[in-house]
Amino acid sequence: MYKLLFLQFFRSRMTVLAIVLLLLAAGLSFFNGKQFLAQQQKHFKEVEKSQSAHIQKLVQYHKDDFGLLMYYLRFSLLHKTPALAALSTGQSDVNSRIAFVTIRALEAQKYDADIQNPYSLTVGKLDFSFVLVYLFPLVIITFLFNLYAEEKEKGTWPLLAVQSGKGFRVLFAKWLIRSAVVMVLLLLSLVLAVCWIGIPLNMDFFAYAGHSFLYLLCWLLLGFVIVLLRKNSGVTAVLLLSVWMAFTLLLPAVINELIAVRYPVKEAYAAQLAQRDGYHKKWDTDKQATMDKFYAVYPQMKKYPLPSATFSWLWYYAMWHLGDEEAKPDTQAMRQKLKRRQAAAQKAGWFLPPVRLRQQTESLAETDLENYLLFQDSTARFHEKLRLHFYPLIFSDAKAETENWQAFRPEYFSPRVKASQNIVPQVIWMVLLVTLIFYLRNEKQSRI
Amino acid sequence: MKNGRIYLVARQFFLQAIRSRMTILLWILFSVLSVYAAVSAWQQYITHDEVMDSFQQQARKSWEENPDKHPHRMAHFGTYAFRPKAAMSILDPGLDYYTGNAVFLEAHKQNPVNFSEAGMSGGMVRFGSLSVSVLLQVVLPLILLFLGFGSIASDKETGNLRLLVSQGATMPALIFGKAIGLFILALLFMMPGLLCGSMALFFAPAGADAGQGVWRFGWYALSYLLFAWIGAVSIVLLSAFSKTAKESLLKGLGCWLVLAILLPRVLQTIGELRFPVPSRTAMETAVEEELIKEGDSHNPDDPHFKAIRDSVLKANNTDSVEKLSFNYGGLLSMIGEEKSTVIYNRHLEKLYKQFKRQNQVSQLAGLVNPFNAIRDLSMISASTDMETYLSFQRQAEAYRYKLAQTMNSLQKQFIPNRKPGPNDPPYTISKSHWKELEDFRYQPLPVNRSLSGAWMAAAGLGVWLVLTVFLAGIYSRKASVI
Repeated sequence: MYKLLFLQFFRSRMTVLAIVLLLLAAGLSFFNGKQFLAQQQKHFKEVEKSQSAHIQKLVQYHKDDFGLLMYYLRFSLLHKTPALAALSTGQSDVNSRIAFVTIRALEAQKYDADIQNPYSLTVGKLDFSFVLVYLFPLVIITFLFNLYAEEKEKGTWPLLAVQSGKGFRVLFAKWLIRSAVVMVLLLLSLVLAVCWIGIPLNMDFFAYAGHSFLYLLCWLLLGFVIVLLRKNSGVTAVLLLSVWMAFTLLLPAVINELIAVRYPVKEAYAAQLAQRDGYHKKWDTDKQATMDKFYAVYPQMKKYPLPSATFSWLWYYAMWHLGDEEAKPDTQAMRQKLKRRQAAAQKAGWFLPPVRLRQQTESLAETDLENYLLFQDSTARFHEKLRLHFYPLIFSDAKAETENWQAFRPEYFSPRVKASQNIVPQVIWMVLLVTLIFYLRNEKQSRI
Repeated sequence: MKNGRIYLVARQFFLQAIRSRMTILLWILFSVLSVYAAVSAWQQYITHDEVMDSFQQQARKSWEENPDKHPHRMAHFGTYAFRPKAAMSILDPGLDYYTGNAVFLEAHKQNPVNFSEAGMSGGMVRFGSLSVSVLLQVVLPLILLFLGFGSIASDKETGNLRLLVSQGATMPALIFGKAIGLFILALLFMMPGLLCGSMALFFAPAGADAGQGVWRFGWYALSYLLFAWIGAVSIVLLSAFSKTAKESLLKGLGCWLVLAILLPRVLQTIGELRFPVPSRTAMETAVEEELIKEGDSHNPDDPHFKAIRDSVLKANNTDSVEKLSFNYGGLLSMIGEEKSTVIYNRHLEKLYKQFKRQNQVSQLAGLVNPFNAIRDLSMISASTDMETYLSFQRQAEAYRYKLAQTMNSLQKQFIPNRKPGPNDPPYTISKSHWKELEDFRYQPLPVNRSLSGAWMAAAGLGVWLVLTVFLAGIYSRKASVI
């Protein structure tokens, strides 16, 4: 029986068309992903080249004034992009993965946006995540909506029903074949991704594959439940599409709105003003008071007393740092707000499989908000490390040639935080759906 | 009489649809979503407006409160420009979600516009936001398809069509009639969202499109009416040319999937791949290299700056910079600022042109794909399109330049030429000068400027209008009745 059902399935023109379109979309998404990785690599190389040329040139011009040299010098911290990010771009086109900073106030530099076309961002990126979240379920719908209805409408249903226990076995067999084909398509896509983009076969990749598998299984089960309502093909198609629209388009967007309204983030702007005022207003305040605040933060700098001159690099860099310090309450408040938004989105993931899939895969690909916040933290530590290294040299008025500038190459940062990878919500969904399938498996007196 | 026939067909279709429970259910759901979208957007607009206003005032207060100081310090103190939203963004947020909201304006340095809503979104970025526009552009066509796929095809299946035609109804009359009925249904669906949206506009404080609300809303509504009409006729035509209702539903779904969901993304991806943009590092490096050719202000022995000094000294008949009647440092700052701004802006405009090329692929598609066309028309009418955003960036940059040059010219005028000693207090000018420079004020893009950018999208809808009317009126006679 299975062989015949299999052949019957593939004879349909729609099946073939759906498969072709899906594979084309997946192929394009892989091409796009590969370009994305290549572009990231290119940008990193540009920063490397720029940094070394930049240091060389400036050291030459300002070898006698270390303080002035450090005003201009920039150092970079780069957020490594794992190959998996080619499949799941996440927020990496919105949040910059390059920090190229001077030792002056970090708060004024940390949030600098990268160059992006807002129109492209609005239309959305064609990565494999999009294909997986939106297109695969549509293909599943195309395969399943006719499962029962085509037999009923062609008149072959009574014949099939008579042959095997109320017909459920036939429906199940048909469903199984379609599910197998969908899983094979997923496997094919993943294999293509690995070969074409060169994704390493590590735990992260297998977790990604696992999540994808579970997600599609949920859709297959959901489709089966709706098919078992035994409506005609038109109504089934409409129902399936409405569910698809609700879960992938409407409900996540509604949740996004709710989160945005519930947690407006205005702390960001307060932090900016606090940092700017915190630094600039010090020009007009008592120098010793400023230095006392600076020594309180870095007691080891007490050995550099404030010179009597109107302007000194010690006082200047102390002011810059205190700008950051004064902005701290606001930056921390902003952090809290973002974390609250993130937590709310996590909760939404329990009810909406597409949201959960996106969260988990973006976390694996290190392109989510959590990882970006870690990168920002790391930038702050990087910044402090640089400052503490250069402060003594500036404050003691060292000569530029005493420093080994070759040692300053761009550093790479690789975060290691993963959003909850447990599959409890998915399992709950599947249990719920399987229960419904058992409940609906026998034909009821339907009104149609 | 032909018109009477069309009216009868339209009336029958409309009443039949209204009585169906599915239609009522769909209408309730769609209305709830539309109203929610409009109200939520209105809330966010009001919050955003308050926040932007308060911070703009705070920044201004900070600027004015500065004591007497050296104007170059003020040039570095700078100020912020906060991007106001257009009130029409309640209906169509367009690019707003992804564009930055605040930019720091200071001398010597052009900063990017940071803090987009998307950058601060808690991981739900890729799901976008719900707006009246998304509902009207993506969901409504699907609903119309659900309501209209059987309009002629089911009559064909049941044999009714044969009877109607044999009694004198022509295919064009039937098609136009059902299309009008479906269109009136579409109006019913659009009503809550548009009504709520227009009320929100009325009660919202004036935004970045102040004074243009009525015109832009009119343009917005007109575009969607046109889009709905094209949709209605297309669906009925599809039904007429399909053998069964099921076939018309499937074909319609396929078209919707490809045109509304798949194609926009594919086209924009192609645009991005074909016209790549440089990284920020690459652009800044290129600007730096060009600047150096113009004279390296970091290099004290630079020939360019030497030449400038010599020519200024000669023009003023002196032999030493300190004997000039104005502050030489101020003059140098003005020259330097002008040079760097010209170079940076040239690179920026080149970048914007590349963005335009990327977007043109999608925009050209508007001639063929009504979903692309309505998206562009909707955004442009709502002042949330690329042109509006670029106008904010350009205005902010122009203000930054004005701020820097005003401070530099104050330095040139009022700061003495002799360099202060290491223990002397710094030179200052009176703080009354700070108030003389007005605050940044965004000037909205006039409606006709926006309109001129929308011709491609409008042409696209126009083409579809003509096409559908032609197909409905003339070609449809060839559709089979059996």
